[in-house]
Amino acid sequence: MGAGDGAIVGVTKIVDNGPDARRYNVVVVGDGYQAGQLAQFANDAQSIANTLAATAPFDRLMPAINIHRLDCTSTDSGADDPAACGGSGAAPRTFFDARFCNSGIRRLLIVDSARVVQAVNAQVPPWHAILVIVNSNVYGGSGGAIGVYSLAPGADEIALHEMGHSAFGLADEYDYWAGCGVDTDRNNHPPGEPGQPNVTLDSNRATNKWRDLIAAATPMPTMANPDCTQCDRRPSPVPAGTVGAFEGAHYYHCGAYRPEYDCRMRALGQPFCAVCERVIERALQPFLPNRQLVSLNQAAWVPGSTTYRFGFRSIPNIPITGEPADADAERWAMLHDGSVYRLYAFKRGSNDRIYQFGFNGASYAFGHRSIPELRLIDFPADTDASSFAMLHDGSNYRLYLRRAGDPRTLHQAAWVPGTGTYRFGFRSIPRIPVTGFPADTDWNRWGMLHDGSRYRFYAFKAGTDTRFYQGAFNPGAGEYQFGFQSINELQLVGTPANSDTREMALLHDGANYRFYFQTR
Amino acid sequence: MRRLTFTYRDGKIELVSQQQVEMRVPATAPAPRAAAAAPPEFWYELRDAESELLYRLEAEDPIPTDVEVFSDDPERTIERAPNPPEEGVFTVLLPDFENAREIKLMRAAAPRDAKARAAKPEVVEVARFNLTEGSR
Repeated sequence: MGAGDGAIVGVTKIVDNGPDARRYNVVVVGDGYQAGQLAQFANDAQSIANTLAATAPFDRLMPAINIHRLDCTSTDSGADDPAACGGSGAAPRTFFDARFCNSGIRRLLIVDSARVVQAVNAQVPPWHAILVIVNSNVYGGSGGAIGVYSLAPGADEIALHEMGHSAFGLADEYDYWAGCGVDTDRNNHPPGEPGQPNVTLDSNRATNKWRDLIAAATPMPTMANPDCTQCDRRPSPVPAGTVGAFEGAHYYHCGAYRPEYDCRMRALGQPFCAVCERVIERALQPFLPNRQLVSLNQAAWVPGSTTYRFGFRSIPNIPITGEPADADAERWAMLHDGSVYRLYAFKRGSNDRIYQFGFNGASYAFGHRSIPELRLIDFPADTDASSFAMLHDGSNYRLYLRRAGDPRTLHQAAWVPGTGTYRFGFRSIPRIPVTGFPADTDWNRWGMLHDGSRYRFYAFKAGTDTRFYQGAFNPGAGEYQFGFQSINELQLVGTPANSDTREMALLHDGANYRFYFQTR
Repeated sequence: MRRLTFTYRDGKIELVSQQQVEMRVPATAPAPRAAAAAPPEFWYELRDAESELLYRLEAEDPIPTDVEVFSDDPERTIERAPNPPEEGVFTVLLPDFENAREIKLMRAAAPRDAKARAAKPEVVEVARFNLTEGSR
């Protein structure tokens, strides 16, 4: 059973909220589906997508999520269900070798997880979570690197619980190990605060790790177990949804606390508690798209320093007006051409169309003194269009993308005068290396400008929103070099709280170096 | 980012693939590293050719010592059982540093015996892989 017992058919993106490089990617894989059952698998995959979209907090985070369906056929239908565990004795040949009765437990349903990961690595490289649906009506599932569940009613709850572990680092909140009345060594939690965000040993209102969610009127601890030899199965003393400290968590009857009386990390079929919801929300924040171009916060370099200060020699905040409904606010760039400050944004869903805005004295207005829509042509197939930079060097408008999988290689284009086209390689070195930048360079947040004498390249220092690195083009070497004719590291000061730090843009207007964040 | 994929079987870990991938990673929850905090149970160390630490990532121990079992009985929907499968897979996403040469998998081996849990955990190197030449 295994690789010879089926084939990978292909991938379909069933929830598409934008480029995979910018979204949280869930991959739904099927096992035990014969070729003639792939339509059924499509329905089953859509069902878990619908469940996710209807489950808090994912219901309000879906714009951050893409869901992919990996179609695989199996020679036979179903999963191994050994008679030794009371099963049917079925032993179908399936591609990922799904089988019940692992470790002697019938409901413990696993697949060849290494083969699943290998397949998903190849088919959807930027994956974050993998869920495997096994085509069987016997209840079962498992967790670990991937979530596995069957088609039995309620089994999709296993997928949600396991995502809590594998994708968001949540702890189990139940107060037993093998079961209430079964355990004899689970009375008191050992010392040492658990690292996970949803269990704690600390019931002190002033220091508890989710104290900001606890109402002043809620007793602390909210519920204490009077008999540490047993699970505490009394009803909650406070209304459902109250956040406090409920004793009994992390596999122990006493000494550890959970945030609410119930939670999906305590029992299947329950909603996530408020603390778990918040953890999931925070984790998915980097994947949420900007909904629209609203305005820009502007900073300028303070001469003689290593600092860009927001509001310095700048209009602090500049509105963006008239943007097309399908302007992609995550892929934008800016330049100054000696006359006009310009803003560009990709057309959403396109890798070869950009919209142009011009500053009219009050706002960046779509089409102001601009060709409203421009086209990118002749870029090689290995171009990454998930971000871009632009500059004007006194002679040419230039646009830069990067090589897919290699952010250290720029693909350069220039505007073809008299047209609405940027052509790869036109009046340009087609490919330019970027070298020497520190190991902790955040290549996802970068920008470029030309200051009248140098072409410059910037990228954030990983893990910070206030420090970024600088390099410049060395004509002798034909590459952008870290620190070449540059202050190596620059600092942002006074960043407004409403700044969206996920992307940046820079330009030089003949007098000042300027830096921009969009507002949230 | 660079995704490393490992498999394990009967306690032996292998690095089976490295993949450069353009993707974002989830934001991490604020780490509650209070004085009384338990040490991390597992972490990855990315090191350069001189064995200087480039990056460290704390994580759950990817090799389970027990297993979660689910039930449709509403009174006991989840429980744990010993003897997890002896083989499996895990992955980790790390920054794609061009000077990274080695990945170390480290574990703070807390005693399993409840009476001995107060003792200081012993740090052990679980595995080490040269990212340019394969495992050793």
